[in-house]
Amino acid sequence: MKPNKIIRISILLLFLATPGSAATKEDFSAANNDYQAGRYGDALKSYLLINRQLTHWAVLYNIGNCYFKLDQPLAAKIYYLRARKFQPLEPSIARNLAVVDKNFKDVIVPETSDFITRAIQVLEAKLNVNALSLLLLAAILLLNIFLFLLMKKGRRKKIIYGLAISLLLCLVLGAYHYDRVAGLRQKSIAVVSEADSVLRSGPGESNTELFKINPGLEVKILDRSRDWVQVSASPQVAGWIELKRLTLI
Amino acid sequence: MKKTGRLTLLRRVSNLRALKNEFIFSNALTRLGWVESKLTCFSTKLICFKLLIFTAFGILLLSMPSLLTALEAEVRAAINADKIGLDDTLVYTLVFKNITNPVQPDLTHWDDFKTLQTSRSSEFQFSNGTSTSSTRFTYYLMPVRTGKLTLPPVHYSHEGRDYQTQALTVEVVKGSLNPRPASPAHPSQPLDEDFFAAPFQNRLPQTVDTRLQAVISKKDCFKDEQLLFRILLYTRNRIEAVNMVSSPSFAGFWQEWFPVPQSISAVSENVNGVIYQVYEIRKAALFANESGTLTIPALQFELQLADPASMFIGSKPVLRSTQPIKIHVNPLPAAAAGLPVGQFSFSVSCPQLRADSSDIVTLQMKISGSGNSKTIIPPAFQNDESIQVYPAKISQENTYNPLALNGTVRIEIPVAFNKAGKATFPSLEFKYLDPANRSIVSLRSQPLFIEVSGEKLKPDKSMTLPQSAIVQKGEDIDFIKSGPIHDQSGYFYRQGWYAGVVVLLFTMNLLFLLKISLWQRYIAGSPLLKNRQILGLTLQRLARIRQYEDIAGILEYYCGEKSGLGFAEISNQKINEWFRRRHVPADSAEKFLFIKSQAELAKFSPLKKTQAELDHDLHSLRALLKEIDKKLK
Repeated sequence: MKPNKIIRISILLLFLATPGSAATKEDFSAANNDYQAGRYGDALKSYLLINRQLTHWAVLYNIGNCYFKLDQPLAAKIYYLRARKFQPLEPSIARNLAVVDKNFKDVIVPETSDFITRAIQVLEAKLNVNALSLLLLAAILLLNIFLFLLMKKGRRKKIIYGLAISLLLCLVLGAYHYDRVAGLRQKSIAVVSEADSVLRSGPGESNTELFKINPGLEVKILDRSRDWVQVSASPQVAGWIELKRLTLI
Repeated sequence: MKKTGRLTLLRRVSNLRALKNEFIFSNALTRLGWVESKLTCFSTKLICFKLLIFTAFGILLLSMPSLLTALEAEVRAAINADKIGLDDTLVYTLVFKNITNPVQPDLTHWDDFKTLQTSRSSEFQFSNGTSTSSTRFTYYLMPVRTGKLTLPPVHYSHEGRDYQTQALTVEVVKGSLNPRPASPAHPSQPLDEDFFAAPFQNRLPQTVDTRLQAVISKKDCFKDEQLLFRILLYTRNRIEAVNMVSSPSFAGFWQEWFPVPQSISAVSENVNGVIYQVYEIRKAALFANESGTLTIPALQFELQLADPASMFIGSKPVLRSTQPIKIHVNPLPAAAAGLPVGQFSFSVSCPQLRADSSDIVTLQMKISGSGNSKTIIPPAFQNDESIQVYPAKISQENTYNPLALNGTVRIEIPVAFNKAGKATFPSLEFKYLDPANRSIVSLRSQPLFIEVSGEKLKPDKSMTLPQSAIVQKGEDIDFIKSGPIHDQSGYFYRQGWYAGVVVLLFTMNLLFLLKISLWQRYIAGSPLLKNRQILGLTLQRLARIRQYEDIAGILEYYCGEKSGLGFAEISNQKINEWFRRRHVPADSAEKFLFIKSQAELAKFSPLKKTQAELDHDLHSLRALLKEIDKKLK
C-alpha cells in the first residue's frame, strides 16, 4: 500500500471518529438564527438539545450567552466555565466571564501565573487529549520500527539511539497522557450555587464557620469527605462546604 | 575517675619507659606498646565523647524553633482602659503566645469601633530553661457611639485548634477623658539624665522628653493660597517609629500631604538651654477652601521610643499631639473670583508649522507654578471655519519642593483642519492672583500659525479620532459562536479501535523483542538448527555452481562444519573414518568420496563434463547428502 493511500485512509478514519451529524449542524445554525433574532429562550432550548447529543465549547458558550441575556448570570457563568474547560485560551470566554462576574458580590482576583505555569497551560490548551493520543500511538509505532530495524540490521549505533529516544518518548507521552486522562475524570472546579453558604474549618456543621460566601464564586475542589468537599477560592479563602451547595463544572 | 585512671596509666607508661631505658625486663618493650595503644584508644574515645556532646548541643539549638511550637499556644486580648471618651483612642492588644507567624486578625468589620492604626511586635524570651515567643498586635480603635460597647471575641485557628479571646466591655462617654497635652513652650518633664551621653549606665525607666509642634508658613492668607504645614518632633529620646493616629484630613482645607521620606535627618536646636533633636516628621500643602478664621486641629501621633530597659529589641509607645493652629483667611478680591492663587507660568506650543488637511495636530499647553494646580481651568481655543478643536487631554503632576508644592498641568489639544490655507490659533490669556503682591497677573501666549496643504479627505477616509474623543456608552458580552461543531468529549482513548491499535503495536513490539532476545540467542544457536542450516546452506551453494570443480570446496565446507575438523585436517581418509563412526552406509560413503575426488581432479583435467552430466551428478549428490546427513545427526 502506498504511503499516500495510508494517510488518506487515516484522515478518513479520524474524520469518522469525531462526527457531528448533519442534523445537529442544522439545529445549531437554527439556534444561532434564533439568538440573532433576539429569541433567547428558543435558542437556549435548541442549544440544550444539541448539548445532549454532543459536547462542544461553542455550544456551551452560546448557552452561557443565552442565560446571560435571560438575566441568569449564575447559569451563564457555569456554562462559560464548562466551555473554558474545552477551550481554555478562548478570549471571548474570558471576556464574558469578566462581564458576568460583575453580577456577583464575591470577586477573587486570580493570581498571576509564572512563565512556566503559563507555558504549560498554553501547551495543554493547544495539545488536546485526542492529539496527545495520536502522538502516543505514533511514538509506539516509532518504537516498533526501531525494534524491527534492530532485528533485521543488528545492533547499529544509530538504531540503538533511535530505539532509546523512541522508548523515552513513549514513556513521557504515556505518563502525560495518563495524567491528562486522570484530570478529565475528576471534576476539580465548581461554582457556589446556593445563597447563605459558609466555608467551615472541617467537614460537618459542628466546625467553625470561617467565611461567608455568595453564589457565583468559583472554587477549586481539593478534597472530599462524604457529602462535604474541601475547596479554595484563593490562598486566603479556603474551607469545607456541603457538596449540594456547589455546581460542578 | 577517668582522669585518675588516665594519670595512673601515664605513670605506668613512664615506669615502663624507665625499665626500657635500663634494659631490665626483656618483655618491657612489648608491654609498653600494649599500654600506649590502650592510652591512644582512651584519648580517641574522649575526643569522640566531646564531639558527641557538641553535636547533641548543636542539634538541640537547631531544633529550638520546632520545640517552641510544641509549647502551649495562647491568644489573649487586652484594652488600655475600661472607660474612654468618644474623642479618645482605645488601645486594643492581641497577644499570640507560642504561635509562629500569626496572621493579623482583621477588626475592620466591628460596628462600634473604627480601626485607625495597627502595629505589630514580636518577643522571644528565655525563662527557667524554657523559651517562649509572643507576637503582639496593637489596634488603635476609635469608638463611633457612646454607651457600654462590647469588643467581640476574636477567633483564630492554628494547627487544627481553634482559639478564642474573651469579649471585652468598655464604657464610652462624651468628650475626652485624657488630659490636654502640655504646652510646647513648657516641656512637661525636664530631662533628669542624658540617655544619649550614657546609654547603658542606668537601667531605670528612662524619662520621656518628647513633644510635637505644628508650624504653619502663614497665619494670615488668601482663600486658595498655598500654606506649608509642618509637624516637628522635638526629642531627647531615641525614636524608632512614628505613626499618625489622627485622621490626616480636616475641615476647611484642601490638603496635599508630602510623601513620607524613608529616613529623616535631624537638626539640633537649643530650647531654653536644652539641646533637642528636631525631626520634620510630616509636611503638607494646605489650601483654605473658605474665608474666615479656620483652625487646624491637634493631630495625635504614636511615637515608638527605644526602650533601654529591655535587653532585647523593644519599644515603648508614647502618644503625643500637636497644638491646634488658628488661621485667618481673607476672601479673594471681587476681580480675582474664580482665579487660581499663587505664582504661575503659562505657554502654548505647536510641534509643527506645516500640516496636511487630513492630519490631526496636537497643541501643547503648559501651566506650572506654586499654587493649587488642581483647581486651574485652562483657557481653550474656539472652533472656527478653518479649525476643529477636540476635547483636550489634561494631565497633572506635583513636585514636592522643600518650601512649596509645585504643580504642572499639561493640556494636549487635538486639532483638525477644515480647509487648506493658513490656520491661525489666537493668543490665549491666563490670569491668576499673586498673593505676595496682592495683584491679578495676566499672562498671554504667542499666537500660532500652521500652513495647511492638500485636499480634505472624505469623512469615511479620514483618520481615527484621538482616544479622548471616544466615550464608552455600554458594555455587553461577546457575541455567540457559529461554525462547524463536533463532539469534543468523544475521546479516541475511549474508543475500541484505539485500544486495538495500541494492543496490536505492543504485541508486535513484544514479538520483535522475543525474536531479538530469545530466538537468536537460544533457538537459532541450538545444534539441531545449526545442523539443519549447514545442510540447507550446502544445498543452496550446490544449486548455484556452474563448474564441476566447485563441488569439492562445498563438500569440504560441509564436512568441516559437521565434523568440527579444521580445513587442513580434512582428507578422504579422515572423512571415511568419520562416516564409519557415524554408521553411514559404506556405499554412500564411497559414492560421496568418489564425487569429491572427481571434483578435485576436474581442476586439472582438460576434459570438462557437460552440463547434463553436472546436473545429473548434482542431483544424485543432493540425495546422497540428505541421506548421509540423517546419519550424521
